[in-house]
Amino acid sequence: MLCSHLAGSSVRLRRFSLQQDSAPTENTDIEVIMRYLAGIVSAAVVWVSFAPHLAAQVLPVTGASAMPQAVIGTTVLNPSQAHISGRVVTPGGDPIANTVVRARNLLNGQIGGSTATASAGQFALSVNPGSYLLEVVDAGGQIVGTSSFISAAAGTAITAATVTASTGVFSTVTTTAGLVSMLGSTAARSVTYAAAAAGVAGVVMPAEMITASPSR
Amino acid sequence: MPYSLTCQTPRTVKVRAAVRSAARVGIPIVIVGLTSLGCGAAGDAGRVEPVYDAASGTLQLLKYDANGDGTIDTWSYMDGARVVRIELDPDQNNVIDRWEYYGPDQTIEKVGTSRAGDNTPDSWAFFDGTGAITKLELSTHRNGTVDRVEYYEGGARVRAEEDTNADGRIDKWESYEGSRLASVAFDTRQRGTPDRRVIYAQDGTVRLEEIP
Repeated sequence: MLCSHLAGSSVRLRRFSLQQDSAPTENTDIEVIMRYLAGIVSAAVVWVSFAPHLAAQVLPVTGASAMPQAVIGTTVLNPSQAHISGRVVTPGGDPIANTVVRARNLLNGQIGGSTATASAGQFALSVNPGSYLLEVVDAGGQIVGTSSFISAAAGTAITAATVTASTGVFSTVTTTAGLVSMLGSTAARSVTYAAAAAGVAGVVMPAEMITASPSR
Repeated sequence: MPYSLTCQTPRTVKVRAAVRSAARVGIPIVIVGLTSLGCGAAGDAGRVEPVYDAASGTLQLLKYDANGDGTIDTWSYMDGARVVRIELDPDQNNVIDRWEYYGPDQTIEKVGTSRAGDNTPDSWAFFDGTGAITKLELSTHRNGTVDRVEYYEGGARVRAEEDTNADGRIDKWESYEGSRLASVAFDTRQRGTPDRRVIYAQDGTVRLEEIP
């Protein structure tokens, strides 16, 4: 479009030169020049408007302009940042709501982003590109869960970063404490004792239950 | 056979078959408690239901009503005379709450639990001779593959190792001081050893360490 305008302008200018030789009036010449200049400007504006779209369709994009643009739902992410989302759950898989999740940069130790989990334990935060560790922090400020190593590149969305809060604040230690307390009365002892009492063959009693000396 | 007693019960034929079977494979048979409780005491006889292999007569399973309410709540899987595994449903909701695994010497090796309470064991605790927990193996993906191991001393977790990317190699290490997370280290270069460590001081400050 621009080329045709320029070509047209050139032709008209040539005609103008010829007309100039044949004694054109000054006002008419200025009007013609202004008209052609306006045409050139219009063409330039149109070119500037459409050139990027045309270039994007026909030219390979390289370097920084190739940065992917992540979209989460209807939100277009800032291509200079990374988006990390996931859930915080108990060892039993239940969601933990309203607990703090923060992303610690593994290059400088600073907190790169922080948020609180929603009702289903989900969270989302945007951070500068880098390497991160997610920390789950309880109300007392204690870290009760950490994620795996996360490498977050610019413009990317990292999902499914499930972080399990796994300290006694929640349930694991409570569970193991329960096991310890149960260990003193293992099922084998009661089952085999009852089985022997019922006359079932092939039952070995736990060692501590043998009441007669083997030498007898 | 160091010590054995026999008892005439309606199961005599099966019992003898099982004993002969076990003897053939060298399993020592020890049956005790019969004298003190009486042969086939009626109270227990109704609460234990043995299942024998039809071909070999080997005892395979003992179903047991531990609380005597008429409902089986304990399943003891046997290899002849040897207890292999016991599954318990003490609250009788048809969901196993506890899996006990026994070694060849008939001592308990580990206890499994389902952290989601859905009949699938996903954590296995190991104990020392005093009954204190020493190790907890976890299948965080709940697929039976252990990808996290926590170590305990004096009942407290002191460190943990985890394979976070399921490639079969440990790539995350945690250490604890009391209940506090003291450090987390990662193998970001996939070389099998940590190369970056975050150290959490007691005063809340954080220090980074790069491990060459």
